[in-house]
Amino acid sequence: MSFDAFSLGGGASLSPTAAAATASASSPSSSAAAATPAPNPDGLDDYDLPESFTIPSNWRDRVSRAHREQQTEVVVLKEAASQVKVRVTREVQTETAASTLLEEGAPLPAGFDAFLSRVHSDILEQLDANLSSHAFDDYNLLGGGGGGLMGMGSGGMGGRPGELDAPVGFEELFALQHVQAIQDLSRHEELAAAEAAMRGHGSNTKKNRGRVAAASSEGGPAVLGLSWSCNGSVLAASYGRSDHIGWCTHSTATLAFWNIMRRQISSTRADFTLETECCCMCLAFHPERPTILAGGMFNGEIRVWDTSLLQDGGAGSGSSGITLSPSDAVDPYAADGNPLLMRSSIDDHFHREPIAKLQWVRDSNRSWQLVSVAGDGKVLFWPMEDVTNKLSYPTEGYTLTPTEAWHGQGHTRNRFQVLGGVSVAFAQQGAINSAATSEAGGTVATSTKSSSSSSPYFVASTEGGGIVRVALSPILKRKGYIKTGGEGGGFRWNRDAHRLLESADASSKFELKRMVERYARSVQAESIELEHVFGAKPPPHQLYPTNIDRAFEGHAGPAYGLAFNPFERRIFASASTDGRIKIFHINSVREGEEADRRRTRVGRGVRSECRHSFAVLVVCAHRSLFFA
Amino acid sequence: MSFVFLPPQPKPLLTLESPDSDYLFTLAWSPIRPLLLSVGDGDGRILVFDLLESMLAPALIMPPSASSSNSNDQDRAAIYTLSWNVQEPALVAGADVKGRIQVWNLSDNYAKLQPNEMRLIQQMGNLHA
Repeated sequence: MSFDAFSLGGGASLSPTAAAATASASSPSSSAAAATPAPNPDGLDDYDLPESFTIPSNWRDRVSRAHREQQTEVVVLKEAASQVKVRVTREVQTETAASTLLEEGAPLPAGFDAFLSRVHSDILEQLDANLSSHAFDDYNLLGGGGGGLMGMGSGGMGGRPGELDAPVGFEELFALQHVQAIQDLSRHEELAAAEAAMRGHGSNTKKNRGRVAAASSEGGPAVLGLSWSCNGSVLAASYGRSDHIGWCTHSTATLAFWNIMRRQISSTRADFTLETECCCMCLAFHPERPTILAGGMFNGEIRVWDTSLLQDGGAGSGSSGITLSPSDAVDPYAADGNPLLMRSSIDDHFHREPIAKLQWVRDSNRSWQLVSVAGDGKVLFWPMEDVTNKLSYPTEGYTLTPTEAWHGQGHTRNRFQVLGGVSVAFAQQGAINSAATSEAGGTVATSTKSSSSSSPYFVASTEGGGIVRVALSPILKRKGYIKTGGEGGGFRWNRDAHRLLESADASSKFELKRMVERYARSVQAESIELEHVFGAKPPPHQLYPTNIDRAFEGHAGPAYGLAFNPFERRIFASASTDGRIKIFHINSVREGEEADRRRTRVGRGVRSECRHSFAVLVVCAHRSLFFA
Repeated sequence: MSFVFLPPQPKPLLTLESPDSDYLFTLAWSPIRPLLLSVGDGDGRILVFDLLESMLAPALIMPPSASSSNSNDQDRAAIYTLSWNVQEPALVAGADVKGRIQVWNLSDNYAKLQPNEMRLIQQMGNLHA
């Protein structure tokens, strides 16, 4: 409003403002208006002039204001839809085809004869091929069970007679039994019984009577060991008795061999046999040489045979594919006509109890060695490709004894107890085939370098049902002879002898060394060989260290079955007489004791600073853990 | 006989039981299938466990020799030893304490590597670094 007044001020300047008009009468326009009545000058005096007058201003005296509002009318919405009411469907079909079948008697179309004669030979050929085709042998319509028959064998699929064509997934190819071996063993038993009867009631017949009684009730001639040759064609079985009491006096034990690649297999008579004068408890074919067989005897001996020599003398040979590889000069298994190639002796330093398990394992130089475990708690490594050794002496050995950390009870000087071994398993096992072996060997070798947790070991099961892991002693890479210092000038040590002594318990190492050197001096040896180490007759449990670095949760009975998975070398399984199979990881730890495990490893590391070797071994023992 | 406190020992990853909790005398892994293992039991049967199929029950139970199945229980003969044929992985031989040897031929699904199997066994192996 003030703005309006201001802007109009200029234009309205001629008109007296309301304020000016009312305030003073001296404005010019007022004077002019006042002068208008001047023609009557004499009446001036009586003209009563008002002192002032007011001209009301009509400028904007009334401001008109208006307020208006407007709104549209209510919007009306409408929705409408429309749809077609009628739908029309149309279909079209061709007309019915005329039949092309010829009516009987109708003339053949031209060229039909020519077509038939052209294709009929092809069709017949294909139909014939169908009859003999194996293209769908493996095809399994139902997805599970069943499967194809292998070309060999004559029996139908089905486990039990009466179950016709049931897809059980297996069939019995052969049932074999070397009757002669069983008769021999039984006859021996009868002779022993007769002999016992003849002796009457002598003072020493108690033992014999016990043996006869045992033979008649249970046990009897059994197959104690079984092994396939590496080429898969020969199955070897060792016949012996399972019920030994005291010594093995069965002078007629037999090894029986079947060649399953033969056209005709006798189920009651082996293809060829080998007589032993002592029961053979376990068998293991060489993983690469199909004719080399190792056996562990009841009396603690280990023997190695060449079965090709047996076969030549036996009833025919040939189709087997078993041939002795051309024997070069350094063939460690070279035979001189005698099938028995090597045998170990029985001694406190070797085995005095029945061999429970034999296993072929490669050493760090990739040459084969034989590992034996027996009830005396010793696990011994025998070099098999050393032409001078020939099972004379082991080059490595371990004693299975309870440990403070894992069994709650160590051994003392006065009380030395062992865990009788029943089985042994190596992560690096016998060859599946040569490729698998080299692969496995390679992996193990690299992993030993990369991490300490995969230091080489083996697993053993014991008579009490325990399962222990034993770390292998480091392999000294030196070759030839090693010169050592010492009292009296020192000696040159054979590499194997040196290693055997180096792997001994740290506490007794020097004592052993002195003992061996004293012996070597007494026989005026120039250098110390394995024979001097054993000739000195050191206490076996000092020579063979314990090295148990882990015990796994055991079984309630001896775990006779123990094996590493051939594909994943950190997994092994054990099967025991308690009816359980346990699958372990080699690095399994006690619950919540990761830190403790590490500490233990460091502690052990002091004793043997590097454990670089190649294999892992698990041992099962069956003597009770807690008895002396 | 002294009773001694036994320190805790590492537990197995897996425990399988034979159907009758019978004695088991021998164990062997298949040379071709990482998750297949066989055991011989006290009744003369060979049990084949296929961990791919079941971790509870054996996949195959191969009966004892025919001559012993129709005689009485006392004639049952334990399987002492088992051996897989590495060249023909379908063949497994078992021998009992009566001197009988059986050679079994398994069907293809037990004698050929199954898909996923190698991965599973490697996973088992990687459980503890």
